[in-house]
Amino acid sequence: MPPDNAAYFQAAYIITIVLYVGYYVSLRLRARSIAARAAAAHSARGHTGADAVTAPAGEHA
Amino acid sequence: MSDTMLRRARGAAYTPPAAAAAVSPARPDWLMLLAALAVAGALIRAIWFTPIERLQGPAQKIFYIHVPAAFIGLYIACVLVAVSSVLFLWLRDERLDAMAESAGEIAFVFLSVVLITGPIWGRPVWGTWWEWEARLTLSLMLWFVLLGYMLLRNAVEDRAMRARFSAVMGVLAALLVPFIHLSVYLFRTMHPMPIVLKPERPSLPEPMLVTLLISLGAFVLLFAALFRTRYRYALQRDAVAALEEEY
Repeated sequence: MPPDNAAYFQAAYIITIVLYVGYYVSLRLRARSIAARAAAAHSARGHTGADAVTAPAGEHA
Repeated sequence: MSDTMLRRARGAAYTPPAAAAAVSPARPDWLMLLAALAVAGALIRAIWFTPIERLQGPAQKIFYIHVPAAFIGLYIACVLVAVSSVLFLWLRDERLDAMAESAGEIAFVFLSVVLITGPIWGRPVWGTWWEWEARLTLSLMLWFVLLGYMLLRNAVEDRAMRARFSAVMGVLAALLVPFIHLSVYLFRTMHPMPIVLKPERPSLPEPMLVTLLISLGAFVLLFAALFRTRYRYALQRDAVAALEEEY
């Protein structure tokens, strides 16, 4: 008769799933944040155009 | 940052449609969906369609997540860190640095699974959560080295210097892998000997071996999906950083 220790493997499975899902969610959140930064950077570049390269930084605020 | 790196980063930044689409949160990640289905299938097979081991009981089913996590963390992710790092030191291509960075972080996640599921399995089978024996201790050391690798990457601001330092550390981290693999042969240890990765035939009943191989395949798919997402994120982050530096 095998020992009754199913709770251990159930706990291990749940923790493993939480870890992998948590990591993937963190990746998606980081991707979302970087996509927002990329959009902001591209929109700043688009609005300022070629002047952005030569004009002083303060004038773009 | 070197001129070459800046130029390449700027080049990446100036291709916004591809880069933005690569990590767009709204876009469905088909590889991840496939991996999630495969992992779910593997776990269902392990829980309900694989016999219970007579001596260890149901706790032995931890085997089907512990072994794939160890195999992928050590032999795929850490080896990828080492290979990408060596190639980076040779070719100085920042995409290799991004690969090493991504593989290092995922190795850390998989090794965390190993270090959590191992003690949960050890408690009912060995009668203890932890034992300071060779394989466990070396695995914990590798976990700390990978943690240090990630902290180093966050601590150094100069991208060229960060890439060079972390490439060296990545190679050093991977040097622990053969010692971890051989630790059960070199030292007296509580950890069981390999039952699949050995010169002879696997010493595992067929239904258990099939479940292990299915689980391994599913988790390799999960690794690939996570790696792809993390690698694309790293590329886009560097491209955005280069763009922000420019303005």
